[in-house]
Amino acid sequence: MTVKIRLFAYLKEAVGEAEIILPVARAAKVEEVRDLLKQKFAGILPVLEKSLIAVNGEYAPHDRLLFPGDEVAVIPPVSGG
Amino acid sequence: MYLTREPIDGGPFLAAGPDFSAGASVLFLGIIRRSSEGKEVAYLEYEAYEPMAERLLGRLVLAAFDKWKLEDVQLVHRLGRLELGEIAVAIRVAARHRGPAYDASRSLIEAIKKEVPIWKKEYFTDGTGAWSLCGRAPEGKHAGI
Repeated sequence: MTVKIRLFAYLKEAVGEAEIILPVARAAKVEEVRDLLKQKFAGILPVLEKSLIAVNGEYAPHDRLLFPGDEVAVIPPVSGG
Repeated sequence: MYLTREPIDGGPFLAAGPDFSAGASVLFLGIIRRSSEGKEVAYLEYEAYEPMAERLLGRLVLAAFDKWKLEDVQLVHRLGRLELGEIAVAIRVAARHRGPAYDASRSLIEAIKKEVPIWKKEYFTDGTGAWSLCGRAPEGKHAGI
């Protein structure tokens, strides 16, 4: 299956896309997406390593399983307020 | 709705509640400052993962009501381009007494800065721009990268 990954702020600009699609196994864990992102975007590893992953708008644990239709988002360090 | 692209007017935040139950009202305004880490700021842009940010802000407000037995909370965060001196965030907390009002106000702004997916990009007078990356990621069991 594929998973849609939303990117924001610094990550969106660095990658040049607001959204990317990555192929993953059905019921892949969040940590597998994390590993794919680290490989694919090794050039921005320092910021990726300070980022969190959200699934369907909630911060997700490493072992969260992913299913078709889930929306994954990479959340770089926040700076609101 | 806690996010807005319209300028925030602090005035309405000063109004008393209709039933005069609150004896204390604390208003926090986050303002766009001229200097940032030694550079002169021209303007800022804020963006958010809007559905998630709205939900987390709503949850923070509900949790504050519950924890400090508040009478009222008004909270709004601006998105888009902001000029120097504009209000980026306004939080008004009303409680029966000042202690819980101050505590809830401080707790809300700290939580926003720590966990709500809102980002600012600073544009400087020298023509450069940079996303602020010094914010802390939430701690705990959540998946880092």
